[in-house]
Amino acid sequence: MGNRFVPVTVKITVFILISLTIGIGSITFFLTRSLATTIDRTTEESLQQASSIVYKAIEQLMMPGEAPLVVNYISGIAESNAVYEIHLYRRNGAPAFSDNATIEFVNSFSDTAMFVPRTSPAFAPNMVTDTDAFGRATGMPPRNVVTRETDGEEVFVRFYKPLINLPKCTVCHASDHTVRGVIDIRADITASVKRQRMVVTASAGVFLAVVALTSVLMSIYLRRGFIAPLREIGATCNAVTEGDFDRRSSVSNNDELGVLSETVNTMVQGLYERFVLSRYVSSSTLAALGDTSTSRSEELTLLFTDIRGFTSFSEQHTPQEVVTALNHVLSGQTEIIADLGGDIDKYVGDEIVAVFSGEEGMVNACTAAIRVQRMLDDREEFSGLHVGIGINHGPVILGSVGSSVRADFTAVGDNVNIAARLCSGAAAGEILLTQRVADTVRERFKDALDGPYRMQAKGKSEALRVYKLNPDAVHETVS
Amino acid sequence: MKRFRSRFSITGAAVLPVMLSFLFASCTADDPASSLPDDYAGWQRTTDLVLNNPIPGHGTGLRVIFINEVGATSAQLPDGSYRYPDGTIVIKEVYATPNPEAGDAPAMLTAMVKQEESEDALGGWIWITKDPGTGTESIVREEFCITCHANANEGHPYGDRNSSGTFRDYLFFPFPVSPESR
Repeated sequence: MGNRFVPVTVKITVFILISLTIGIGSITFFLTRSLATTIDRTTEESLQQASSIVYKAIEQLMMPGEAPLVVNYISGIAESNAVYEIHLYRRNGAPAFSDNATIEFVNSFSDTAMFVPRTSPAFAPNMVTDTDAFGRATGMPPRNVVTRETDGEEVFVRFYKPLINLPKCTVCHASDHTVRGVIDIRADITASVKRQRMVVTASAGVFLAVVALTSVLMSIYLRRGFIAPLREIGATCNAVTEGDFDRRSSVSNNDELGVLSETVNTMVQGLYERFVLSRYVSSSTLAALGDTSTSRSEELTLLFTDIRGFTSFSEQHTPQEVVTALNHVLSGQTEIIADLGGDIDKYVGDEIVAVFSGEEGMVNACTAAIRVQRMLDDREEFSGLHVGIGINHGPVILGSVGSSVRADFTAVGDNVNIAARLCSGAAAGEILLTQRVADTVRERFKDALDGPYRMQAKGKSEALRVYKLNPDAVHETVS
Repeated sequence: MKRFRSRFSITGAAVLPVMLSFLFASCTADDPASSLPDDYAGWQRTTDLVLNNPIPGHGTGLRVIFINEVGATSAQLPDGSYRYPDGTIVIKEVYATPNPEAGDAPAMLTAMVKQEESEDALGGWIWITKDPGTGTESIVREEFCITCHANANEGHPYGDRNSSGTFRDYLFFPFPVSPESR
């Protein structure tokens, strides 16, 4: 689960989606919410203003006792305006002007007023429905109350405005109560609410469209601008890994990816050149490229091979055949040496100089020598060609030898010369070892060792003690 | 079936803490606690009438009205109208009964504090109620008080009845006493 590959495109797209959703979503939500709140407040303020107008009209009309005008006024508003619905309630919740109760009270309370009872109620005797809001409007202190009601798809805002029993009202209506009644204005805001919903829906739609479109555009941009170049560079690296040094990254962006692509191409070119160079230069030389100033002494096993009978072979074959055969022999030997951890130090004509390092260096060098001899004996193509091999072990000096124009990182010293002398002294098919080497590999090749023999080497005052390693005497598979 | 829904349903949980903190700070800044002086009993009374008739808004108990020194001087203009300066305080004791015993404490204090520029002012006055028992004061922001007291600026049934409809700055019993009513 934790190691599951998740494309960068997906990660960035998800990040963008979350950012856009939070950012644009929050803005859209608050703007929409603010718009809806503003519409609600505007509606309420409008109702409050309307109620104030009605309040003032009722106050002015009732002062001279013109209740019928109030009835006509309320009825007229109801007939002319379908949006507003106006009711006038007594403080007990009964509709005003629905009976003669108030007229009878006023006539009995006031010495001067004498109002004629109406013969039929001006309004139906429907009690107030929202008793909770009505109770708050008529409580102490009396206050304006706004409520919202729904009736199916219809939405209403109701505004209760208490009519105060003003001192001037007490002349006719007595002073024992504070609230005369309540103006009830109900506005149908269904259309407004629908518009709000449309705004919310449209905002949500635009929000989703913007998020989706932006995500798609960003995804395309990311794929083209970042992911595709990265894949191209990655493909180049994969090709090099599989040995294809001809592949180059085609990314030419004028940005960091372009720089990376150029760097990778330069690196591939360098790897290719190093790869090619490795065919001509020893591993130690290549390794020393990074540290040319270091010369050191090291215990190494030196293996020299030299083809015997090459002169007569040359005389019997064409130059092309000679070079081909020589290359085959050298290639065969090189593969064997490389398989056993040896490093080709140099080719000198038909001669190979190889070095083995480590504790198993001498055994490996002897094994390589046996395999080389067997290869030459066994394969038809090498018929008539043999090598003599000399192996020595000891401290040598490793260093960059040559001039500022051309140099090899190679091994020099007396032990190198001894190995060369043993090689020179070895007859075709022979492997000569120094005492040191023989002592080390004796346990492994005890039946194949002959000696010691005395060998007078050039430049040496004392004869060398040498052993022959007979490949034919090594019966088991040399691994 | 009609469904009721309060107009202030959900305002957003995220905004609530900010609103509460703002409201708290606002209330603290405008808290009228202890803004009404306790020594008002030494002030001038705006009328010698015994106000124990029932009136809307103040019930049936006895009322005694006091005005501080700021309002007691130079409030009446040459045309007979009244304009009380900022700093005027009118305190009305409202007793529980029409004829309280001597030593009875008022059940409630209602007060008008003149502060023209205050956001809490309606008609230039801040309308306050105070519970003498707890000392809690509350600003009345509803229009109830001013709606009723606006009747003082026109003809009304109290005191001199202001039959000329002179502007009395919302006081039914202005001080000094109007020459008209003398």
